[in-house]
Amino acid sequence: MELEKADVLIVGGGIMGSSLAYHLAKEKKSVILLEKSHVGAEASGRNGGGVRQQSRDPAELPLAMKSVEMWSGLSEELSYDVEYKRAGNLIVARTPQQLEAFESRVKRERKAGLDVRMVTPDEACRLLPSLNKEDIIGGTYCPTDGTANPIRTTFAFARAAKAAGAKIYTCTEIIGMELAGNVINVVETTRGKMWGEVVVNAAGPWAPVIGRMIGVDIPIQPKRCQIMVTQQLPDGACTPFSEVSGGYGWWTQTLHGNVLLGHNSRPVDQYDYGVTFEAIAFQTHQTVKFLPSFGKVPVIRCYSGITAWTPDAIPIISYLTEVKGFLIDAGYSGHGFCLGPVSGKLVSELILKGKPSLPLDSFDYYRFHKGSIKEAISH
Amino acid sequence: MRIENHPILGPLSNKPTIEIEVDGKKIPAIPGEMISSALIAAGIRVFRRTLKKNEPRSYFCGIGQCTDCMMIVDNVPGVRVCITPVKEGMQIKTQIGLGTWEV
Amino acid sequence: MLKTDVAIIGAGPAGLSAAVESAKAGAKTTLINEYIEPGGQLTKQIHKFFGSSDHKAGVRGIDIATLLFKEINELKVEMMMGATVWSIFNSNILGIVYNGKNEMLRANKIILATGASENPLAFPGWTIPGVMGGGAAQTMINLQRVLPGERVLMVGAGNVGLIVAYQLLQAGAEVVAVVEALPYVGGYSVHAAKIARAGVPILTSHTVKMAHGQEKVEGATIAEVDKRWKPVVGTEKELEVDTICIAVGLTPLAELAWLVNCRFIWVGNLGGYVPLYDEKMETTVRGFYVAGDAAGIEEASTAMEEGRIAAISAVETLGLMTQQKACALRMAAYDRLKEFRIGPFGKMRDQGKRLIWREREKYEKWV
Repeated sequence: MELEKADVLIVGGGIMGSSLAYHLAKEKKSVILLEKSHVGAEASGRNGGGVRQQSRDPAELPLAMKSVEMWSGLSEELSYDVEYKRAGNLIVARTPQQLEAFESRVKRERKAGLDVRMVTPDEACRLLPSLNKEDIIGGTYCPTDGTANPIRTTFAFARAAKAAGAKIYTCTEIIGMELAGNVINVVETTRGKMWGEVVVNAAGPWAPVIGRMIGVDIPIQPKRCQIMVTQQLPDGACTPFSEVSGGYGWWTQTLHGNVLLGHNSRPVDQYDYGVTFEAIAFQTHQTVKFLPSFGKVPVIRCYSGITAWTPDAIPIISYLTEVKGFLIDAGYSGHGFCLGPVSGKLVSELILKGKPSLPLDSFDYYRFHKGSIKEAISH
Repeated sequence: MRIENHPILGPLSNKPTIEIEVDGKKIPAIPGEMISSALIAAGIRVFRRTLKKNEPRSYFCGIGQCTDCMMIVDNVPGVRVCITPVKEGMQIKTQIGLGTWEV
Repeated sequence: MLKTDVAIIGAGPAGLSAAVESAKAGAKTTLINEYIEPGGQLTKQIHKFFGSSDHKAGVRGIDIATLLFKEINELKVEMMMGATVWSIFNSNILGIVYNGKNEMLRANKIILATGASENPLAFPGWTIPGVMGGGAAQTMINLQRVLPGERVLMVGAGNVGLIVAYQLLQAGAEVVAVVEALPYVGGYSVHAAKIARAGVPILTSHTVKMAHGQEKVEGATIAEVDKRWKPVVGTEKELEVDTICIAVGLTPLAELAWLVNCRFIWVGNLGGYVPLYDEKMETTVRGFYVAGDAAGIEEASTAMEEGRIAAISAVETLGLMTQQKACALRMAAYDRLKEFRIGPFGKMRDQGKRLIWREREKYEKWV
């Protein structure tokens, strides 16, 4: 039987899979990255590009901080401009409860070494001049947070992985996986049969589909995020990546001047890329309310993407015990982009040395079977 | 130049009874006509200039599809003047690039 | 939310004719048009149409439009002029910006009659003010009654190029030359003869090489082209012109069909990507029809027939017309269409239409 073999088979050409492929290939491991359509075609290429450390689950914070260190040298390392800039991240509060939660969060984050601080409504408006002060009672600001170009970044990782020897197979779907005892001995794809000593499931919202092929239940649900894009606006129209707490909307300006208008992901039945009137109406309403001077700005397009959510909104990064060599690296719950660089590094360490340089215990698959699931951080 | 007499369409009955302002200069306009018509009839050929090379641009497709005719109308940039009718006292400005937005 | 039986997007010849048929059958009909005036390209056609008397041969396009407007008014079609359909949700809810406000319109059936856009032709100097589409010049002279310039170079000797060249003469401009890259004239010979008689040279196997001028067009260089479409060095001629019209073909404007996930097919001799539809003009999305240039580039007379066919099919499925009557009316429309789909160019378009129907049928079998 003709079997294409590799040290590591990665399912999913998003930023996690591509970053992992790069880190493994750098260490001279043979890697095959399998992607059902194109690299970065899904959430990794469709998100708002926020590279954020503040306001994450405490377990993610050290990873995010390490990732930001890596982000600053990324374009050079990958020989490809990922358009990373440290424009800061601003989150504003509308209610006293939110502000109180911010205060305890900032205390915790500062203790962990993050440069983050509380801001008054006036300061928030200085950071984002178009912000409508009316509803805002305060906020938090992290100057070392920033933004990058999601499509370019994902592509850059895959390109560098390929240059380092990884095989990137796009338009290739997994048809099935064959178990021999507790080992995956064949991965059947539309490009033929393959085998990997380690198989990594980095398939985002499709991770459960992959899991079901070997009888593994992966608790990931799809949610859809819809984004509107304005025409190019002057520099400084929206410098920090800004958000109104509670899922009320976020705004960010790309390097080319377009401002992305988004809000929190909502549950969706299937992997539906449609754009709904409700989302457009909501987004328009929020934008006009919080950034009133944007009222007459032309919107040039709308699109959506599907994100992968776990019950506690933090990823699953772990091996399974029932199936040898099967690693799940998915469920970044709509805020994985920042972690792309560090995730690839840590998972490659997990695979190569058995021990990552930062703890991944909180992302264990088996936490869902232990009975208590932490409340997801709510903004 | 307005076509005053046409072999098929007959004499031009609508008169330029209103005025619009273009870069500070007042020009006559026929109520209901498109801004681009009033401009071209008044000999104004350049509607906007590109950001990088400052090149002159003007009317191209005439039906609002190409956006080459964009001008700033009553302080709003990006208005397609080939499909926007004139109004008495309208203020029109040559647009540079995508225009400025006060955001 | 507003409601209607049949929403027709585009009030050109296809849309107007569809609105008449739809309202005649008793359907609540809403006609939506982005331009503030209805009529589309029809109101710019000041020349006499030809064909059988069924096709109002000898009647000018503008006069056909006037007749259609009268019928629309009498039939109380709901008109939304100066309204932009910015999206269609769920295949049947239109988002419309009208009078500065957003309106949502739920339609039982939708007929897309959004026409076509002119193809660009890039050459050094093509962005200089004074270079414009052939149709754009026609809009200016016939609708707006303003001359784009006094000395014109027309690029393209298809129907648009020939007709607009003649209409520029009527408007009082001088047409210095018509250049056509093909070795033959693509438009109806009747139109070519008219401008040739007026002394306008039609130079086949010629193209425009560049436009000159800083703030406006001051001249053009034309040249002969060889079999590979390349300008032949040494054949350049300088023309003193202040206007260059580009009439090198049209492309269907069917973005709204993309938005509702219609399947498309590439048909080169119908202008490019067209939605797949059947002989009832229904696309691969149930209840979504297409007619006129948006369904493939032809002409105003064929657009009117297709608009009628689409509306007849729509009202038939609404139960407002018996299958018998609908079939009879459709057959009559196809009979009239035959006249326009013969001859060297008509035949190619006929083949294009048949290809679309065949592919649509194949698609039906997969679903």
